[in-house]
Amino acid sequence: MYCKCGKKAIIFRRYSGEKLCERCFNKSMIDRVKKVIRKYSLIEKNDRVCVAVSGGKDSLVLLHILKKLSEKYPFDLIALTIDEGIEGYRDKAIETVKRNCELLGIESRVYSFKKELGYPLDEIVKKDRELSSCSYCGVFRRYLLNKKTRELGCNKLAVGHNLDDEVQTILMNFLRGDLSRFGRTGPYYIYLNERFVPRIKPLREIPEKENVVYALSNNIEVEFSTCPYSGEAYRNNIREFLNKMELEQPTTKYSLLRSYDKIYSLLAKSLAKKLKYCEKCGEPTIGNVCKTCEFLEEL
Amino acid sequence: MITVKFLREDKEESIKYKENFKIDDVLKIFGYSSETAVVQRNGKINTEEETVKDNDEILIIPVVSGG
Repeated sequence: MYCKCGKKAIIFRRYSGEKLCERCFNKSMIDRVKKVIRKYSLIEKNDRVCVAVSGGKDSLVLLHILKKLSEKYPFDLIALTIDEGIEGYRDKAIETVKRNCELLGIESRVYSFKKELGYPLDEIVKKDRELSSCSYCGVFRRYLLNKKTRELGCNKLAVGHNLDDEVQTILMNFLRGDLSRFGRTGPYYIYLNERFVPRIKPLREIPEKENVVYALSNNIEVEFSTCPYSGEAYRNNIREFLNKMELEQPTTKYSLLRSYDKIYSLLAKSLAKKLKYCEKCGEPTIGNVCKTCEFLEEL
Repeated sequence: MITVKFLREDKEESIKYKENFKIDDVLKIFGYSSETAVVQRNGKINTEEETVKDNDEILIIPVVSGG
């Protein structure tokens, strides 16, 4: 199987019929990220962008691509890592993040659940609690990412969500009838708030598999391990379903994203809620008290 | 024989070589598909459409990680 340029293909995109060699694939990845950034004006001149880097393939591919783009366009980058406190997993990933940042010459900041909120995730999972550990982890992580990005003087928070993450989330929220969340997976924000830093998703049109291929073909050191506490059963079922559909109809994931993006502009205005400030900590929230304060009280 | 290794797992399997056997066929044997795994054949990334040769070493890299 050969690329249009005549070299041996390393990837066959069944959804578009393209067969690409390493060089053409890498160029195409950069072009697609640039296109998404331009389409939604995700990054603008002189922006200070915090990249949420976990050490996994998606966030490190994002960091490497944004670094490449920042050499041509004027914006600054800082890598922001949240140490949830998962022994044997996140500690290894943090070292991987640090090595990548050194290689790229990017400032790296790490903030931990333990120091910032009082409990590492390893302790939270042992507590008598109502929800899954992923619920606490997700709320605390998003809280710290937003707060620290703002405190570091950055005006954008870039996250490594890929096409698969996006379509899984869209379908999950739709099937659950959670329309409030359903209206929050879009590529841009309807309402802005001075304490809520806009989260941008430059990889939202890149299939997860292509991030793996990009990491391997560019020799990016990434952590390929899986979180010991991961296992959102519902998401796993949706992922399986979408992968099965994609094999049978290889444009399923893109079609779902395109459909969502088309209705997003209509939906978001009626579904998105204006943010208020938490009565306890002052951070942005939909309710009167933010989820972080609510969970910390419970723990 | 074809040697099949799995990233993150300390196991190695051998499967009998068959003519016109594709990487996609190897993936299916182990419950993967072109959506759920990337494959390196003899250390290089290959498409699932490539035909496997006798004595090849296949490394299966699952797409899902992190979480």
